[in-house]
Amino acid sequence: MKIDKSEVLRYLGYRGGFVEEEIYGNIDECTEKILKLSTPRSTYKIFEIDENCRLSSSDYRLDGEDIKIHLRSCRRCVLMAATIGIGVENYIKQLQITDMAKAVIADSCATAAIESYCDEVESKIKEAYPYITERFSPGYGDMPIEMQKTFAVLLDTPRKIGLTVTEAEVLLPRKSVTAVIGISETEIKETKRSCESCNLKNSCSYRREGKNCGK
Amino acid sequence: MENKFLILDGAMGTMLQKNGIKPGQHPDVLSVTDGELITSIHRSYIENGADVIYTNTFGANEYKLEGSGYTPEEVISAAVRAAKKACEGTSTKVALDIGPIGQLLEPSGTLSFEKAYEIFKREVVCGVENGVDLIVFETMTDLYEVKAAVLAAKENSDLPVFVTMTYEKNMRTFAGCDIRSAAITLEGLGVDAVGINCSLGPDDIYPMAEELCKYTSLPIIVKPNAGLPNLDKDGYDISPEQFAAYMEKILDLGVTIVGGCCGTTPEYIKKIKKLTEAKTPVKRSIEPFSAICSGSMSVVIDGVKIIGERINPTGKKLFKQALIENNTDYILSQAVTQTDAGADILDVNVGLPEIDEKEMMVRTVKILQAVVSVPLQIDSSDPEVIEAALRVYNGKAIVNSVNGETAVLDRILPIVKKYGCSVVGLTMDHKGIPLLAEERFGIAKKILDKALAYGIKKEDVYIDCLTLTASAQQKEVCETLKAMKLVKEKLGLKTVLGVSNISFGLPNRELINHSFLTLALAHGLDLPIINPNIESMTDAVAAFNVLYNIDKNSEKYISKYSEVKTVTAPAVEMPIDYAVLKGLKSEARAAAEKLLETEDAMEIVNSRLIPALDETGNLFEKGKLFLPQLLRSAAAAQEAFEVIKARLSKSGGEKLSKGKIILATVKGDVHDIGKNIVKVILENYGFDVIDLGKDVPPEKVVQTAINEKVTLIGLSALMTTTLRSMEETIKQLRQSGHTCKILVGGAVLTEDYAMKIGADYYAKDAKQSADIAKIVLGD
Repeated sequence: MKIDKSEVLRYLGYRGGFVEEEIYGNIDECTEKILKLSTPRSTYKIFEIDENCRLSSSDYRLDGEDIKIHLRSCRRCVLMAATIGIGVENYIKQLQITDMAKAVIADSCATAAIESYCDEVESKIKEAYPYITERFSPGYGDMPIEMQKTFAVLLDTPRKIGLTVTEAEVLLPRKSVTAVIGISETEIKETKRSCESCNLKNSCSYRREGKNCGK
Repeated sequence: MENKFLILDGAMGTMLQKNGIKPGQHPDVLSVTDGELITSIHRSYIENGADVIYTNTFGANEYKLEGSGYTPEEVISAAVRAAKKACEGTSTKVALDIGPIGQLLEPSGTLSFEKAYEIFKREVVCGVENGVDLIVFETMTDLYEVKAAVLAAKENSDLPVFVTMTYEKNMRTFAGCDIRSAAITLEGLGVDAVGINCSLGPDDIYPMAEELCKYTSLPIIVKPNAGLPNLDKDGYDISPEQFAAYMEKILDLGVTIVGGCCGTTPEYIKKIKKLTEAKTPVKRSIEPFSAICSGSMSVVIDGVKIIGERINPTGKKLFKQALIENNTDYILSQAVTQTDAGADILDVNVGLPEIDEKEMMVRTVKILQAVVSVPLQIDSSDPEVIEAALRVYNGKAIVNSVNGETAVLDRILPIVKKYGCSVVGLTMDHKGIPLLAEERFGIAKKILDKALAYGIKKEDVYIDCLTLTASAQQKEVCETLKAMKLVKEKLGLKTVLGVSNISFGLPNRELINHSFLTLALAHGLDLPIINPNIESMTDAVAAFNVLYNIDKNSEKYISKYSEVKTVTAPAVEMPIDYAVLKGLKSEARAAAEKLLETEDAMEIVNSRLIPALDETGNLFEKGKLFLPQLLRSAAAAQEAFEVIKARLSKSGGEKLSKGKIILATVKGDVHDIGKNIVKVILENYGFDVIDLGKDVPPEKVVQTAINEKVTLIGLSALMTTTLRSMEETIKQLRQSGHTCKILVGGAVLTEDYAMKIGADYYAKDAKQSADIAKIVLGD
């Protein structure tokens, strides 16, 4: 797991221009601290799925139309959950009291960390299953955010990795990710999803700039 | 239970999986739908040696059962019935198995301590009604949740209580609780046995059991998994024979209560039973020690530990003001700066006649333990305040204080005993502070005897021999030191002392304080209550540790003092707007001070600072500055503001406030960084922000708006799911009839949706919030 400085800058809204030495110094300091305070943990399970995205040997299914498209060439899928733990939370909270600028840097470092960790977990999965789709999480497209609870129950995340879901579907610890990845027997042809079906299409900050999230 | 082994059962879940339970299915429901199966599983454990079986109720709480079609009462009574049926004709006991609720408690989560208590109480009451023999809380990770659980058990039943927590390989739980803090807290709360279960196999749990054995004399429980799950197939990787071999080593540590968790079967229990038949329990004894803790950090008083004194309104105008205005940011910053300066423990005193001390203390304890990890010392003379604080405190606290007055001791010591904390005894009584050391010693002895009579250990009694002022009572300075020495030598108790009083009325107070502290340390002071931000005070402790051979080889001292002190360059003179733009705090401060020599304070604000902030905001909007730069500018502007505010308050001039604004992240939502950024920017512009925090119920927003007469309210939500709370909050504000404008923001919102739910304004970022505030509250 690593923290990519350019990713951190991106989360902070950097678009080029002069950056003070002190800010780079803060990024380095927060990077070191976040890596030290992180306890990355993940868990995953493989399910067989049918065309309606029902998960084998359970009473659960993946909701929404977009996921069906995403997994259309897959007979199996991986449900994964990952977190960098609760240790970073107090650090970020304390910084908000004494140094707000550093706090947002630390928060962005933590986001970069969990994303990097998810990439690592995905690589491990790829070693066993060479043909996999991109990650698809609750809240993407028309997959309801309410699916978070499904992940928590099916993967027993509170017991396995200390990841819980609140009544409002917030993942805690905050820097955590749940996702489904499709497994195919053959190479997958990627289709980009359209923004039209996304729940966030009216408020998306990428859209505002005429871009998309790449999903 | 003392000198016998107690055999627990093995996994229920594993056995149910073998019997075809599907992933995601709630196992506890099977007690109702297939009681016979449950009874038969219990029976096979009993036949293989279990003295205690755990009911199939691990997740039988109202939260986990939601949507299952069953209530906790239905599931628990069926489970107990099934268990009792299996026990018929045997001497095996039935334990009510209660697992974690499945939701994170405050402060990180949205489940309140009080609600968690109610959820556990419901399970306990049902179990007791159905006739269980004991109550077990297992697989716990959050010490705060454990506290709610144990209180629920102890206040609603007389049955024995066992608690086991689950740790990762790094010897901490997912919530960051370490083994020593768990041991200290649980022993204080009066549970009957403590231990470790789940997550790992007996080989990995061995060092944890070893650790736990050092910190408690209670019977210890170890209930490991059958190793780790296999990567390539179902099941776990440790066989019954290997399991027993590892468990033998654990038994040799003096552990007497053993069983198996996930992956184990009756075969494993059979092997453990056989093992114990050939052994006698090892007797354990531990060295008694003095310690307190928070939910994630324990402090053992095995040397000088510093208690930070700054969270106390006495003689602090700014602090008093902050308490009256409900400004918790001030308290938090005092907490963080003191711990950064080396405080090991923080004293917390919020006693002011103008406020509701109990409400303030509970709120203060909760917000402090959300941000700092050091243990707290609850400082109050009101038993109701003390009890309320101890109830919501996570860990084992210190109570400051009791004294020699019998009525006080009888009022407060029972509370100390119930919540398992340490207590400071002041060597004074209704007659006042005795002058002579021997008299103070006498009171110390009385306090100790009373504490022991209430079942409080002597290691948890700390004595404060009281500091008088050297200017008024010069002779008595030595008496304080003498008394401390007597208490240490004759009673063997830890000592506390507030030092700063000594120099009252004398010039060069710092010198007297520093010197007195050094003398006191030499007379046996363990817990000085000082201001750790004053370097000469922490210096005294550092030097003492070297001179008394505590800091071996002067290692800490050398590393602290041999750094070449970087001389901070004096602030370069520059225009204030440039300093703000570049985010240079000292320069902004200096510029403000210089301007105040020639210009009117309000003029500086309105024609220099505000335009500088506007310019910075504009650059941010255009993408020329990014977030950290905006916030550094805000911090620099704030420095300038502080200087100007101080000047205005001294000259009795008008207050700087441009108006009050409430900010809140709505109920169910815990994301608050965005809201906090808005807060910083609004304060920059001179607005008074009342920050209600996160997960704020609509009623609280309405109440505060009415009470504080606030006409602009800002609400933040980051999830589609919490937009409902935002809508509800707006609805209640309108219904209350209170005149106000509502501003909303958050990544998930749009202008359209904001209008749809009845807001007056939508702000896409902090700068827009400030612009809107200027319009709504502006001149």
